[in-house]
Amino acid sequence: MATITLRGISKAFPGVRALKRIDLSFWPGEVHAVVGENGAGKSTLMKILAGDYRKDSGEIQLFGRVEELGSPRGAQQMGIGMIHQELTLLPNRSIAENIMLGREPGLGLVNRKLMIQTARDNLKQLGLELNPMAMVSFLPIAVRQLVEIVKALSLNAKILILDEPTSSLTETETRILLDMIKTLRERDMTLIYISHRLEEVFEIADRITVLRDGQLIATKSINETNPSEVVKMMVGRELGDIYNRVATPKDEILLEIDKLGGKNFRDCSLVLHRSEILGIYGLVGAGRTEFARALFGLDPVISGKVKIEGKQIERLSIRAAIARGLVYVPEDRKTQGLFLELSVRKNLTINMLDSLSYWGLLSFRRLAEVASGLIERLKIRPPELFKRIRHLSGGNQQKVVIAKWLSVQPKILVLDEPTRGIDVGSKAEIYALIDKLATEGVGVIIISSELPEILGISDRILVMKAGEMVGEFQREDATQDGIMHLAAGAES
Amino acid sequence: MIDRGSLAIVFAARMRRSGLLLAFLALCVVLSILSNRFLTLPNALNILRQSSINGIIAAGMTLVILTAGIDLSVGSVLALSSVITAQLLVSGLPPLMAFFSGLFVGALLGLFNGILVTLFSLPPFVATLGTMTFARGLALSFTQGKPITGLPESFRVLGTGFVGPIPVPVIIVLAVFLIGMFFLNLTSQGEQLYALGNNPVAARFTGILVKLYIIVVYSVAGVLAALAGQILIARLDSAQPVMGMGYELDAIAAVVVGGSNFNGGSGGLAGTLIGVLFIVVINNGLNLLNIPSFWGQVVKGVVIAMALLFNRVSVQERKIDRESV
Repeated sequence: MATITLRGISKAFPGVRALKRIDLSFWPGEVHAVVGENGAGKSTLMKILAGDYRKDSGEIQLFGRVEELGSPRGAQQMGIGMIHQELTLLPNRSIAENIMLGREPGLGLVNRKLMIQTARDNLKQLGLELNPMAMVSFLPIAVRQLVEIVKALSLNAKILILDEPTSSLTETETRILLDMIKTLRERDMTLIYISHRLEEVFEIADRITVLRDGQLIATKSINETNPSEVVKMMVGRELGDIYNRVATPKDEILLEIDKLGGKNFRDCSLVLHRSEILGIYGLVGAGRTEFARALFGLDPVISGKVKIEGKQIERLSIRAAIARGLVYVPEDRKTQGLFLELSVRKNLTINMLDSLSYWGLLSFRRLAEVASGLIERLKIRPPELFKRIRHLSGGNQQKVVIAKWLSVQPKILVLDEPTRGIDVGSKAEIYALIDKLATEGVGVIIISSELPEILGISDRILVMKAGEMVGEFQREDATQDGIMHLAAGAES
Repeated sequence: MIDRGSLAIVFAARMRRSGLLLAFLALCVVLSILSNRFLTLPNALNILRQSSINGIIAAGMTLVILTAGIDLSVGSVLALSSVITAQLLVSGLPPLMAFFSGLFVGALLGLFNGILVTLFSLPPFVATLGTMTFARGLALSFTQGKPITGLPESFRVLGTGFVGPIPVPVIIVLAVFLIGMFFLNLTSQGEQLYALGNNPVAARFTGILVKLYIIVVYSVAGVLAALAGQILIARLDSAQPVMGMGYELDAIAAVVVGGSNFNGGSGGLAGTLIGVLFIVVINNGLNLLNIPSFWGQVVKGVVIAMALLFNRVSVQERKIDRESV
């Protein structure tokens, strides 16, 4: 018998039909992946299942009985647990306190001994040897996620919804999580797995459901389909080669870095040519981001020299970098790149306020023109100047983060994880934009932990490991294995 | 690009913003019905004059709150700068020099706050709490706890003078707000200030000198507190080291009633100005209606809470998906 059966679930928000008559069943002992582009309705559907939203129409059957979930608490009591993308543990409390939150044993006074023992038992059931007294803020994100799962299971969850669980995990951590999911499947749980990463989905899922524009496109057994078919169903058209490269590197050198060293990296040298796209690959913790941050003047440099267009920069600083045409798009757009509560216009023009002021006064007409131009050029959707950035999709937010630098006509563009957590369609647009910028003469450095991306877009690839540049590949002779071998290989 | 739906949403956003204004106007209408003395020119000027001290302090507080900070020291800054000015005046310094010395003291204390918050990364609450105690202590020991009286006539113009029918303090407070609104809404620095209030990390990543801005903002708040102090002592003809206690809370109340968000990056001076007037008008109305001042306090508290509910600063802010500029 199906654990959950959805019949004709619909949901509308003002002006949008978020879900249109969804029929879907989930079975015990299956990992069911739900995929779709941003805005396809995955999150809405999951929020209905977790009791966060109310459906407008349709019915939800749990174990054959029609139920109203009512609230997140109601859903929890009926055995539905949700692991959110943003974790919900209290950072300054222990593992035990988090697991037992709201159900602490004891009358009046908490029986700490019993609480810790119960938590330890819960952890052990999943084979986790963690100290229940450890403070959550000291745990790596992956472990926190496992604790969240333990917490959900201790509430007798039969159905676990995982929303992009691996988006901020390293490869090793991802492995641990996927193993945990396999264990839970063997215990006949229903696992609903939302992810952008198709490789993972194809590794772990039994069935896959594709949503597009609020409609259910197909539900297929994983053996009956393949990644390219799924992508096609997600975007609704043939995507073709998403890495369509036109630009060719010139001989002229834009950027020359000689033995740069700083926190978590040392002796890093590289050369970037005009119109070149240079990929830097490394596992999480290899020092890629630290290197880029120091180059942009965000963190101090201990040693080394940086030359832009042949001229040495005496002291690296953000303003010196921008003045010389070197700009950096950080890895976390929400916390580092965007002013979420401000409008698209304000986000797009933040770098050119001074140049569009006359006698100290902003020219709002010129600002609107410039912003509209960028919206058109990058196809930012919806094309509205005054919409708050918070309400744009991840892909469009990412376009804004890149676009705001285009107004200063950069010569060197450093992109840190430019496509993290965004859908395939937006990815293709961002790759096309990067290639376009390269044809216009911009030198681009892309830092990424996604191998297919690095291989697809780069003219040349540098591999970083433990804070050092350990290898270089030309586009022609770069292979997934070769790069991985250098990036993760054993110390020689 | 603008369809009917988006017009409706922009209109809704404007309405919310002007919700406070509507509430304020409604209060005025009610009071003018209840008392025939409310809607008279002398009373209107009276209200504006009573608003001037808190208004000037609240203008500085608005800037600080825009950066997601808070300044608890304004009352003490007011006291210390005032007693120093008064002492300089009675010892014969020209009024103009004494006046600017007072502002300079305010700037120094604000600078000190700004440096504690930025370079030493102290939480604004703690940093300015320290300055609050420290400046008050200095004011008390400097005066031995005694008031300084007998200020020259030429200085007292600042608090008691008129230009035509309009009191000087009213002109000063309006000038402060006009300059502030001009700066916040029309200049690149103003727009950058909103941006860094909304997300200081992203602001730094775009090359905005976040720490410099914050130091300047605290310094300006200090100068404005000192300016308010000068007007106060000019009006009272006396500077006391215990002046200005609790003024920081009045200013914060006005800013919050005015719709600025404690998380920074949203709100502004127009709201604060209405917030300041709102509180004064309530007091004024209670006086006119002869309601005992103990009850006045209660009514004031309730009205502030209602204004906040009406405005629903942070909740509503996230639901409306557009900005109007």
